[in-house]
Amino acid sequence: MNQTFLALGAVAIFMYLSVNIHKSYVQAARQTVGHQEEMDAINYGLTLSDELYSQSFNYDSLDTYYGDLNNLNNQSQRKNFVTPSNDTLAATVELSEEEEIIIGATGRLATINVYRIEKGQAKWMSEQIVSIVPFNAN
Amino acid sequence: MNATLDLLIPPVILGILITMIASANLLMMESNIENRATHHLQTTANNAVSIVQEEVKYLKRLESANGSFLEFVEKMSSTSDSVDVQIYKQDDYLKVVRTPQSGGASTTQSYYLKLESIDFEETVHGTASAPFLKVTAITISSLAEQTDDDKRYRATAQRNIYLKNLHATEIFNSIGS
Repeated sequence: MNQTFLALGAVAIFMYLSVNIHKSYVQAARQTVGHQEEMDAINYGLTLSDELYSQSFNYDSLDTYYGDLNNLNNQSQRKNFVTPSNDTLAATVELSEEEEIIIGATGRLATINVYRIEKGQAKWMSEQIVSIVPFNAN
Repeated sequence: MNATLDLLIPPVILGILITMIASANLLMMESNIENRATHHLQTTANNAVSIVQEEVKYLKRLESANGSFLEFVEKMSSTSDSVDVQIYKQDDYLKVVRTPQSGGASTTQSYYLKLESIDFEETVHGTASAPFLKVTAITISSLAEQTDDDKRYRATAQRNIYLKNLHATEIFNSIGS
């Protein structure tokens, strides 16, 4: 009888160990996927950074095009993007007031925050700050 | 009856223990390989787009950006020669071929990036009509990196690169004309 209890106890410990091993495996896999998501978010952030740099030539319209992208909860007030791996990303852009970026050059700072949308919930992924200095062709 | 059970149970427990240790080791090994391979692939995909971004730095005129083939002319300064640059995928490699327009031998650089596909697309950003180059790279694991021959790992990276020189040239040309 004692042996049977021992055996039951042993099986319970085995099950506990086995669950833990699988848990660590799942965590490792989750981390791998997380890395891809992070890179997607950073790359999207870089894409937006480049987009904002291109606005140097269109500096006066910055507010018109990027001034309203500051509400994460409203689809039309944020940038939306679907990655090649079918993740939904959203980004907000916050423009600073005009300030001196380097000596003698005034411009504006834009803070880009990229979020990952999963089941309607936003998870913060990355932040990038770019400086936009007006470049007047004439 | 009890005596038989007493004899049977220890070897059974030992058997389960051995199977568990063996399978746990196998799982950990697979997980290790998988993590290393995917991490490597993701970094490589990212490197592919970063390399393209660096290579197009001196782009002056875009010839063609369709599918997996990119061709453009670069000029480093007003006095330097124009160079014809081709970037394309060949097997796992990303090839960058530079041919000076004044004649002369072309140089080829090969980057081992485990590419499954690379896609170039010329896009225009609406608000400023700024030219962008959209690059999508997909990398794939080699057989040596897999625990299962049928299960291949992939990673992607996508970036829109702003072609500043091209944009500036367009603006100055339109003012000049």
